[in-house]
Amino acid sequence: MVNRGLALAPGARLGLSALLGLAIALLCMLSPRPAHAQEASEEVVTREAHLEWDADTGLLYLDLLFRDIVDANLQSKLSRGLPTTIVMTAAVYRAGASKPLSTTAQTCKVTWHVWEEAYLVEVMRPGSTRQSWTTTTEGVIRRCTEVRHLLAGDATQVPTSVPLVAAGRIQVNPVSPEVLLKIKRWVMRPSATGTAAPGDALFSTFTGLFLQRIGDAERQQKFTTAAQIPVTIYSKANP
Amino acid sequence: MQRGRPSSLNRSAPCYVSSRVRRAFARVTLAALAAFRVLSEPLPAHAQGEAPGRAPVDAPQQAPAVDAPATDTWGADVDAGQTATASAAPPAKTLPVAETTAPAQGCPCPSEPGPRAGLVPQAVRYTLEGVEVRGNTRTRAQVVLRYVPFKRGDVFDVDDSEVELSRYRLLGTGFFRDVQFSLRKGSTRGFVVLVIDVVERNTIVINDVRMGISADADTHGNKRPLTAYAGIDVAETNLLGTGITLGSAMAVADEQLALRVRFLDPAFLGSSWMTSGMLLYNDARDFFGNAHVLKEEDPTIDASSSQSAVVNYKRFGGALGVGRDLSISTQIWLNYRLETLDASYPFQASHLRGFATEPIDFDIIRGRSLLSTLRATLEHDTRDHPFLPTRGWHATVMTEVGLLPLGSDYDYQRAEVSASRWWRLPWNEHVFRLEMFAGAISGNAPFFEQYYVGDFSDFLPSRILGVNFDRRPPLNFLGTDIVEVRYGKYAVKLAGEYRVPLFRGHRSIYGIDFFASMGIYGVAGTRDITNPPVGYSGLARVPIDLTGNFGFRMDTIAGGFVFAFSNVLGFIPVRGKGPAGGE
Repeated sequence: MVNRGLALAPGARLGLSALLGLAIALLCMLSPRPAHAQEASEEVVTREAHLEWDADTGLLYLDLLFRDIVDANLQSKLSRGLPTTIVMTAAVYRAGASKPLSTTAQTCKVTWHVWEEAYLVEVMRPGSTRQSWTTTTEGVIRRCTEVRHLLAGDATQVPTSVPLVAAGRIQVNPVSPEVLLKIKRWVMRPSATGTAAPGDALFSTFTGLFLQRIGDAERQQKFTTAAQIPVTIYSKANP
Repeated sequence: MQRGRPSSLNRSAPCYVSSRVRRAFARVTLAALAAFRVLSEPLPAHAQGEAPGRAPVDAPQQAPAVDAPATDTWGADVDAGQTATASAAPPAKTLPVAETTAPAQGCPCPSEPGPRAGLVPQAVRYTLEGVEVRGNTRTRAQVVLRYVPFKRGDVFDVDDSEVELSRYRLLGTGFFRDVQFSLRKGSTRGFVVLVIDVVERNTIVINDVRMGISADADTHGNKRPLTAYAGIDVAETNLLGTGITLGSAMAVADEQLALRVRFLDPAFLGSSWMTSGMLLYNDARDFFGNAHVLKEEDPTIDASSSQSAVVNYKRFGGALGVGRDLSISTQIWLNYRLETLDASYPFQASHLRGFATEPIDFDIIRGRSLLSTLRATLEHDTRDHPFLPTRGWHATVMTEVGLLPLGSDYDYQRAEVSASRWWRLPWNEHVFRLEMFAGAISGNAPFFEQYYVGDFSDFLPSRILGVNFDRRPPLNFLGTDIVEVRYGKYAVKLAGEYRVPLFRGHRSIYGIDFFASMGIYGVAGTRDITNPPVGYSGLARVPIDLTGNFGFRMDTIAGGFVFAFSNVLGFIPVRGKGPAGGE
């Protein structure tokens, strides 16, 4: 009963060769592309930003534009009647350093009111929430993607007169981890719908495929800015 | 989401705010409207107090942000580029005032028309006039609506997380390439129609592909060189647009064939009950005997020796099942199975079991017989991913009985428990899995229903569609009498797996993990317990051994693939001492 080595019949050799060929072809077909190609959506974009110190209040402000995040597809979704959320999170770094000095965020929620034929735009920032109406997508884009005078830190966090960099992420319709987990469970086994179980041979490959595509957001983009020394302003002198 | 018909309260006070709040709302709205009209005028930048690189100053009635200085200017409503557009918009369209001063029926509740008005935002709710499905050329609208919990008459909250979940649920069926939800006006103010736009996709999928090499024997039981085997499982997951899955699978090896057709109706007659069906045909063989096999094919022919005694058998039959979800993660199934069996094997055969020559029990009725069973399965699944899970449980409890009253020739009972738990480790997203299995059979189950060592040892090919391709005994690292066991009525397994993520992507390959597993298993027949093979003593009489595997798991656009090395390692001769193993 001892195996004394591999002795392959000619037919088996042919079969094995075919199997190996198929496996190699499959591997070639699925061979990993360069990481940057796989992670296109995670590319870091360099954006123009404007940092300024208010010397009177000791606060650092950030101006940032990301209008391009609202592409034609997203524009068409804005008027679907369901909320669209655009979140920008950023951290301020000393140029060349990896430890953030301070963080900031802006959340913009847009809801098209079908009977009013107008967008309600709710913009949430550190310490404040603001709502406004607009009838145009341009108004939505301006409110949500043109970040002006966003509080980004104070003098206790960020040293003055040093080159700073802002880096962060812009997300469209981000999903919370809890909801994400719930979605994945629903997708794997929708209640009362009885799709085949993942362990089952009939489990759809595409369900597994789809699970991979559920990310943290519908769309997201990392960004960074060029190093710059913030402009100093005096708000009390020129209110 | 609120279900059911909207109450009279909803209709008379659609905005769910008190009169005091409504008055405040109206005041603020009027102020906002005035501000809007002022700001809609195209003013030059300098007239708005715009500083270089700064946004225009906000409306004067706006309060500064709590943490921001009094000169906070972040929320410009109108700029040069926006002015023309905004002023061109008809004022009537910016009149949410009407909503508050003269509430309409139903409820879109624009909660705060003015900027920084200080009111608590109200939910935007409408009364659902209907649900419309568009873009479905093959899939029936009822199939789409099955996954959407909104019905005509419901109060629809646009912020309800159920909306997004429903969308993902539809995408998760695999029927659609894209799904989008939108709202359009209904026939009356406050009423809306939920529009579901779908883009269908190909729904024929490959579920499983298996290939490997095995060592088998010819029909006379003589050892042959290695042969290849293969299996494939294909399914149409949306048969004729009904949402029913129809799948077929096939396994082939030298002179062996297995075919299976399965269907799954996820909503039987539109109910919450699931039904499944399966047809199976096997024309297969299996290999018995440890060593020094003597067999007598016919009473008139003298006994001859060979490496194995071969059972040639055919199975044909099917199963019907009914199931139901008990919760998101728990499911119960009840299956009835009926099969006809036709087996032929040597008139009598013996082999060396330990140091003693014993007759071989083939555990199947010669000629035609009937197998009829009832099986109940409870499954709990909280994994976060089907192929590369990082946390959660997957547990199954199953019991099965042979039904003599329904004509079964095999009277047996089976009970099984299996559970796996995954943990994400605190370093580098490594994953650890603990796996446990225990099963027992009492009665005279046919051999193919019993526990096969190859299903527990990674070093032997496991069965595909019930067909066994390999005649070899398991490896025997511990030098026990496991080498004497092929099929058993009792089985246990405890194993751990360590996974290291190597690659994560979003296109053709979603993930590659290296894995290494190790475990201990045991398979025993009743005779192995009551009358262990002669020649073994002490702990060597406990039929257990080690199993292990390593390789790569790849999650790809074409499905999950495992490239493992245990199948090849299984050909390395590792035998502990023992009458059969040490031959």
